[in-house]
Amino acid sequence: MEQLLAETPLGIQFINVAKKAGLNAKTIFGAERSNKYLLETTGCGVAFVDYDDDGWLDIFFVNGTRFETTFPKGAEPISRLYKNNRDGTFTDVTLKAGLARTGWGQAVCAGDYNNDGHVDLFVTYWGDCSLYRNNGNGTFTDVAGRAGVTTRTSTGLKRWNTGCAFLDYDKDGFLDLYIGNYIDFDPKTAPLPQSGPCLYEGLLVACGPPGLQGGKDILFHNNGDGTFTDVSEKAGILKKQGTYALGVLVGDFDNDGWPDIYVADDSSPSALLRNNHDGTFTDVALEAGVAFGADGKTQAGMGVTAADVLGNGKLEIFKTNFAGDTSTLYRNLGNNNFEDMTFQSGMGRNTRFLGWGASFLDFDNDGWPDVLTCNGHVYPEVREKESESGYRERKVLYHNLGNGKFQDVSLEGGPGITEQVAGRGCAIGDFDNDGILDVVVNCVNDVPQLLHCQSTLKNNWLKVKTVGVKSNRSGIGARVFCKPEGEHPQMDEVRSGGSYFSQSDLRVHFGLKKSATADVEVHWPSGVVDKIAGVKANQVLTVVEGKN
Amino acid sequence: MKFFLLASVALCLSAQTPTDLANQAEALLRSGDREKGLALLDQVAQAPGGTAESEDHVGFLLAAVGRGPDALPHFQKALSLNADYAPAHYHLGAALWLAKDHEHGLPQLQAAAQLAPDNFDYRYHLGSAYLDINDLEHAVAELKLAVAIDPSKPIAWTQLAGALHKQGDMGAVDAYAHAVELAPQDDAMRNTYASLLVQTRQPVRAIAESQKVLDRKGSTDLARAEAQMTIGYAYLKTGEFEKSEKAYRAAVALDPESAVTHYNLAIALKMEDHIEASLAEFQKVISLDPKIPEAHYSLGTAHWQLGDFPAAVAEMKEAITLRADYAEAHYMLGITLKQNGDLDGAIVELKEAIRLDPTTPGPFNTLGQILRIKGDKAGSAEMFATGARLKKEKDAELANNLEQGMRGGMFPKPLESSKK
Repeated sequence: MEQLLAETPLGIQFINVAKKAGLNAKTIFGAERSNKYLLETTGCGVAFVDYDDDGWLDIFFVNGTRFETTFPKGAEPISRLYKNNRDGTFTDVTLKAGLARTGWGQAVCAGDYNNDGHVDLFVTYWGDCSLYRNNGNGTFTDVAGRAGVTTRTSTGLKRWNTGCAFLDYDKDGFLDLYIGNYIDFDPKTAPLPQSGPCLYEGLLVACGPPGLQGGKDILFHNNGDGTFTDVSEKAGILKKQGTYALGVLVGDFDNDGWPDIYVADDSSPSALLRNNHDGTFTDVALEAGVAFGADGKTQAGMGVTAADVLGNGKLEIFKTNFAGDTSTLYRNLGNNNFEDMTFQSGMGRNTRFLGWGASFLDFDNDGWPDVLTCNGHVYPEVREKESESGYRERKVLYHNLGNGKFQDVSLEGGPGITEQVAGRGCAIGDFDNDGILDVVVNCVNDVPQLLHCQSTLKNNWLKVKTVGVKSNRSGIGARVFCKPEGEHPQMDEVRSGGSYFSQSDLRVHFGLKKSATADVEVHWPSGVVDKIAGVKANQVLTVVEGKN
Repeated sequence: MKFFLLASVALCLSAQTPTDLANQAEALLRSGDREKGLALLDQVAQAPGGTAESEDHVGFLLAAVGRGPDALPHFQKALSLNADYAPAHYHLGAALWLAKDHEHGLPQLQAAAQLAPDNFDYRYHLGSAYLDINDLEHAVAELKLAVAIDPSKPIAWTQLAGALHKQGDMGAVDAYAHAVELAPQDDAMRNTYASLLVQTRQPVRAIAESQKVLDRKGSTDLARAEAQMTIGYAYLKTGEFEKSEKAYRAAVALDPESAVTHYNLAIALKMEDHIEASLAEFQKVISLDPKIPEAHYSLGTAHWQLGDFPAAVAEMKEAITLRADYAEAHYMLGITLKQNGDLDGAIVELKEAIRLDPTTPGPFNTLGQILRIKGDKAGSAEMFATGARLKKEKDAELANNLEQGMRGGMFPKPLESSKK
């Protein structure tokens, strides 16, 4: 294998090891051949999360269901939790963990909302959501009702909840919760393909979203006692310009020490909710230049991710969009000003893919965040074409060249990248703790992919695990700076949610290239700063707030 | 010789009626004895005692031998002898129409159809006349009557299809279907039919019809190129870009000097994200015909996709030189100038784009961003508000048409062939 890999131009290969790893459960989501409703098309997210805190990433797959199908009792599709066996395989512990729920699942995000030291999960649904409190003994309890985060409407219509993220927007040390909403959906009143007729490339397809009444996102404030309060109106969330929310991303985009929220909206302006430091937010996406594509047109935003692409301490935003459009990379100019750098960066070449999962990942540990998009067409009616732009699509992998330019290296990224699947959510994490980032992908009506990144590059790396004390226990929102010896500085944040409906490893990963050590700083939401100099490479550094 | 000819004509005149003589003149002309026929026609044209029928007949023959102006008095005389003589109205109307005197020709054609409502020719020509002057409602009505009188005439179905097509009536497809069934050798008509099938979202049928042109022995290279163009467009519509490219490449092989064919190949390549190859084809288009503004515009967008903004600016400017009212080119030039850092230049172009097309939200949004950067908060807010309003209006239009909603701007449509 080493010899084989050495011959590849990148020195890395992504190999799908899902089957070998025991990740065999199929995600069910809508009808396989043709869909009546848009709800059947969006698919599900996935989480790389260490639920048992053993230092090895486990995997949680959100699952969906189908209209007009009655599953035999006990055989209903359910979300799945796989425990990492630390040998490249996983064991399905869903039932034991108490996570078996069927329904139209969408997103998953992680965070220790009750600061008990055990990471909790929030899963969005069309209808009531689930807040899975981690009991610390391998089991979870759905406390959504008790906590007040079921997201019911006063009209009785079921909300179509989408992307989610935990964040401590008021920096009180307790994680709050943001939930995107697509529409308030009722199959009894929703238009059918033939009622439009709703056409795409001459095919009858599920109608929308144009013409459908958009939903309203929700912000829940954590009361610190295990309950939440809906503060959407008070916080100004309902004034957001766009609707049909999908991907939700939290980051301090204006470097003011407070978490802002970026929402990838479908077919309407995306939102940048600037944190006003007083419990309110203002949508500044239009003025900031992150609402539209480079040509001033609204895009069909799906997944979203952020990284310090240029190594200047500011977070760039990357968003996947519909086919016939590029993905979008916004350069952060500071002070809530962004510039679309899609075309300058070399990302303007790909327009035929329909992107969902979106993640920065430094796959070669050279210190520059690369980009992966997981793709697949919305409509199963789109034939399996003799091309890359059918229902199943390959991924796109961009290599960050370190000068603001990206090179499309998809075809050199290995069979895991080029295999065509109906991809949706994807998460990044190093499931085998070899220091090289891997990828897990949730696919529609298919088994998942676990893309193991095999490398001969032997670059160094460092992971930082944050443990909040005054800040929230997960350290979500903490900003981590890493300066490898002799290399450019890097920065990232501990982030809940992001990508498309997914949760990547909460530990922050840095590629160190050949540096043997790095200086690390953690800027906590509380304002505490921890500085650790000369950290040795190739380890997981646990930073407890205020202990350094 | 001339003496004998005149003598024989005189002999004829003395013995027969003008109707007989006109019949004889026609017989001579039809038999190929043009000299004798014309001489006899001149004599009978001067002869007294004509009837409405004979005068109309003489007029018709004069018109048939290319002497339209000489024919008109005979039609008029025929009508003075019998105002209800439908053929004279018809022939007078047709002659005037051919002479571009639509004002006087149309009432004559109308009168003929009114006097003889079951006559196919009268209905057909009246319908065609209406189509000529773009009176589609009357054209469709008359042509429908014509095909009802005689459904075996492909030309009437073709005209009806054309009129319905212009009206945006999908009945055009059925009309073309009749036409191609009646005239299976007419490749041009089948190509037009196939092209319409693509436009009416029936790409599979379009490909099948185009294939018939390709399969027909004796079809010309140009007809085959046209058929391949339609196949290419059909596959573009179904998102099968590789097949589209293949068809367009076949069209280019059959018609290598056609700028339009190369242009459409470039579009297919662009849709496949083969940007460099697309760029080369657009350059080929320009080498074949530097006066196509769309080619410069599309070449500009290809440069833009590759991040070569100076080259994109140059091509957009060339497109605008060729067509000053090219709103999309002003819009793209504005965007490119913005990305190149020339905010003032971008403002000028975006304002021009908005002046030319005040219904597209994109230029308002981009202008809003630039005004924000320049510190004009009020101006910026106004632009964003207008952009949002227009987007809402567009959404209502596009609610059931994702195809149009998702693919615009960066992806120009293929050009219609100039040979149709």
